[in-house]
Amino acid sequence: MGKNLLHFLQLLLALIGLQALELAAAPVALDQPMSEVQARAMLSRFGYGPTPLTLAATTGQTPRQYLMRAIRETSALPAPVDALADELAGDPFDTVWSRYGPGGNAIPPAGDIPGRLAMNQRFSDYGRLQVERRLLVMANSDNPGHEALLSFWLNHFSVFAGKGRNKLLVGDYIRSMADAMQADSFEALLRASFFHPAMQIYLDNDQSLAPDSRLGRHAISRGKRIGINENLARELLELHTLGVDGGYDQRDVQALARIITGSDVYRADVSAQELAQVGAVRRGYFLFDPRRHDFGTKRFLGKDFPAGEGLAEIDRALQLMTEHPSTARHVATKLAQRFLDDSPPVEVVVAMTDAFRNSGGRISATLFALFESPAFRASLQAPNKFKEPIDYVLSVARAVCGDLPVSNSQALFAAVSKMDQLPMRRTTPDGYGTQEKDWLSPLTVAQRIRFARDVARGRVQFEQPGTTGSPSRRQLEQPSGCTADRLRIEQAIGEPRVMTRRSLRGLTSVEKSTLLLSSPEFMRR
Amino acid sequence: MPIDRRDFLKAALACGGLSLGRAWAWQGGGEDTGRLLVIFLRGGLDGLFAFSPVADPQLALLRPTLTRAVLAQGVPLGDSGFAAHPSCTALAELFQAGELAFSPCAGTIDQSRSHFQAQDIFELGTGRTRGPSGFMSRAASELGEKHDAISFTSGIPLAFQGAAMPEIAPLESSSFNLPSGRLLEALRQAHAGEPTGEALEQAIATEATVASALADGSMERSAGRGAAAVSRFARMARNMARVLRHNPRLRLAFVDVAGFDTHADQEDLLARALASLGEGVVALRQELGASEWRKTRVLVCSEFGRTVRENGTGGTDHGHGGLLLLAGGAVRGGRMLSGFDGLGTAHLQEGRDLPVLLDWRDALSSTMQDCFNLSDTALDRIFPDRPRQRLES
Repeated sequence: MGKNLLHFLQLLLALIGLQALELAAAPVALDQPMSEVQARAMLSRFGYGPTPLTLAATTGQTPRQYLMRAIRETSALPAPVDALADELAGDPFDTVWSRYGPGGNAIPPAGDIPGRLAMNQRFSDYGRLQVERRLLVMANSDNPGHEALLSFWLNHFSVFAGKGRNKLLVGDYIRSMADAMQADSFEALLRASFFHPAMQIYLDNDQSLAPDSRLGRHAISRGKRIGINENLARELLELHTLGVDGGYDQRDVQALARIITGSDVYRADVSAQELAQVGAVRRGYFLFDPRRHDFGTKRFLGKDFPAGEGLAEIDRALQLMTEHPSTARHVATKLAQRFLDDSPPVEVVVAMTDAFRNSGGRISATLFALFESPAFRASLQAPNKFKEPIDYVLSVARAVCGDLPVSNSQALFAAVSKMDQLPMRRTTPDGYGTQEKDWLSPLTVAQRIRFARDVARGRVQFEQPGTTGSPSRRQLEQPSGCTADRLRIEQAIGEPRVMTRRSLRGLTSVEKSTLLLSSPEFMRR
Repeated sequence: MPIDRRDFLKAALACGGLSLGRAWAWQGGGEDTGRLLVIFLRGGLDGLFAFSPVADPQLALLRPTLTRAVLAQGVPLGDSGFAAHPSCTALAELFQAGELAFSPCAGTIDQSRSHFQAQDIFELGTGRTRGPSGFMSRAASELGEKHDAISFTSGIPLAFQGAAMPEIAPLESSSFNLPSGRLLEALRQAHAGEPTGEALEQAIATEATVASALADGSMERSAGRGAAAVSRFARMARNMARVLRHNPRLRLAFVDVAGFDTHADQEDLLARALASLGEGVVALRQELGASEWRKTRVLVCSEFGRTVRENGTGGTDHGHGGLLLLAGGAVRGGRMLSGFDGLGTAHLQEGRDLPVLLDWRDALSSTMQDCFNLSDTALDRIFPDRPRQRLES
């Protein structure tokens, strides 16, 4: 025997070893039901924290089911919150735009200073309520993955709600991006953001006018200074698609700036007939006006654009950018950084990049590659991403309210505003940072401790006065109201760390709640 | 305070927290009592709008609308051929008093014209786009035990990122307002050994620093309705000056101001921002007092300048070389630093931007040398691979 048996045993051992290794590294099976620990982490990663009901519903779901629901379905809100959300949304957007958009019928004449001031105030209030509404929806959605993913795209294609008429447009921008998300395609999102006046206005492209276009020549002949503005073109390449090291140069920026001339915002006071006469094309509230477009030849990302193409070349440029390999890498990296780790493992980013490319930019395929990575599974067992301020505030609200509605949107607005991360209020087009280095600072930690203490003392009311006692509330068997109940908080957090548990000794119950809500583990997701 | 910041830093050092290998400051025989404040203007300041080369005949052709104000009412800047925009009158007066110098063509090696990449390059100070530490963090290490750096921002700017949790004092927000007693001790225990714990300890230390400086309730807050319009930055500058004056250990300071990305209709927007900057520098000078102002050097600069030509929408797009200001009681002011070759197309980068004639690392390292008497090797650790053009500040 001797040698042969030894070989056999070695082979056997090697096989067993291999199998053990494979088991250890086995990724989260896309179609394997999630454990409670995984579900809790998933609800914090693609959502704003678990509640008893969402945790029960998500435990046993597969990651694929969770993600496909996030992409394909919208959010439903509990009845009282839904009514509040409608109230915050205000008048239908079409009505508002026909009144106060360019050429609107309710705009006071230029000389009417008090009228103009009142209008500006109305703009500001309207914009603020859209942001409040967004927070309300994020906090109360029955489909938290949908809201987390939508927030990612709204931040990727960031617009600033404070700029001019964007105060009116921001609600519609959020809706348009949510609709586009259901197509499960990066190009759909890129197009929805590009063809929305909020983006055109934000990055000045509605003001860009080709000097040799019909309106350009006319303006020049009257001594006006006009020309091309390259702001949106640059950010399209740098931030929305290829990324700063994506392999384009200044000539591409300039070519793209020329390609996207002709972009304008729809005016309510111009009739469809007039638009047709000049050959303008309306897409929602975006208007392509050929009289502003540069019809010359261009070369963009190595491709020749023949003269005279007009709107079609915008479509072509957006498609070229979507298909560029750098876009796959850029988007995959950002997704991995938001949903996995500040420095995601190279192989995860590569797998996601490949999935993006092979699927023609499908969001689900790209995120499936993330879910299938061992790193993602490990991260669900031990979450370590530092929460962004908005994640933190909403997860505190969720932990304190459990399944009760978080109906006080003003309280959310105030808290998130203090921590400098209001949705749609980022002034620069890069969107908010998603990494620890962007947020962890002495001030951040102090702010969170202060906020946790205010919540624990009952000084932050997450329920809107007047909504208590609603039927949905009675149906749920919960401790009364959104109070910092320690057991409820612990249920949201999961098992605290040993150090945290030890630090709780000798504290009053308010102090305990403060500490739990500002513990190191609750600052991570 | 239960734990002194210095003890904390020592502990962090002992734990290997400062893994970059802290170099001990080289203390030469000369004066090392200087102070440097860097004011970083985010967004890409259009330097040609602020300080304009009015003697260059190209200027009015390239910028027909944006030069109207400076041509009509600009304040001449000595014999430099430049004039200050009316909104920069306060800065021009400092120039005339010999306390402010400027370079019209300063900048980084950034070629991307991306705000974010250019700001990263500026703040890292290594000539790279990525790296573990920013130049302020490395400079703080070189200053040694007794001297510290502070950032008057709410977050931690890349310039301050490094091995140790930096000191930040966000003077615009309310104070840290931490709990005290039993709860604070429990929080410290729960966060011990975590990055959040390091931040908490730093917050405790900074709260004490700021409290001592503004103890008399003199912290200036936003003016209420109807109060005299003092710009936000001027208010902040006064508070910065108080904190610096009361804490001689703070030798390096940093603050950033946003709002300089002016692609459209920049005339009023930028005039307001520049007036506010000028008010801030004057407020700083006043609040520091003459003897402290003599020790202080203020370096103002942005991630890049903007296109020489104005664009079609009354603004300017991203460019390269831009304006750098150096102010202070001991600065040899009233002059232009580095060169200016004019606006002729042959002298422009890619036919559209001012070139960079003064490397930001040279500007910063020269100023640091004047403030702190740092050795060349120490400066090499802060700004490796800098071109070594000595700038006498």
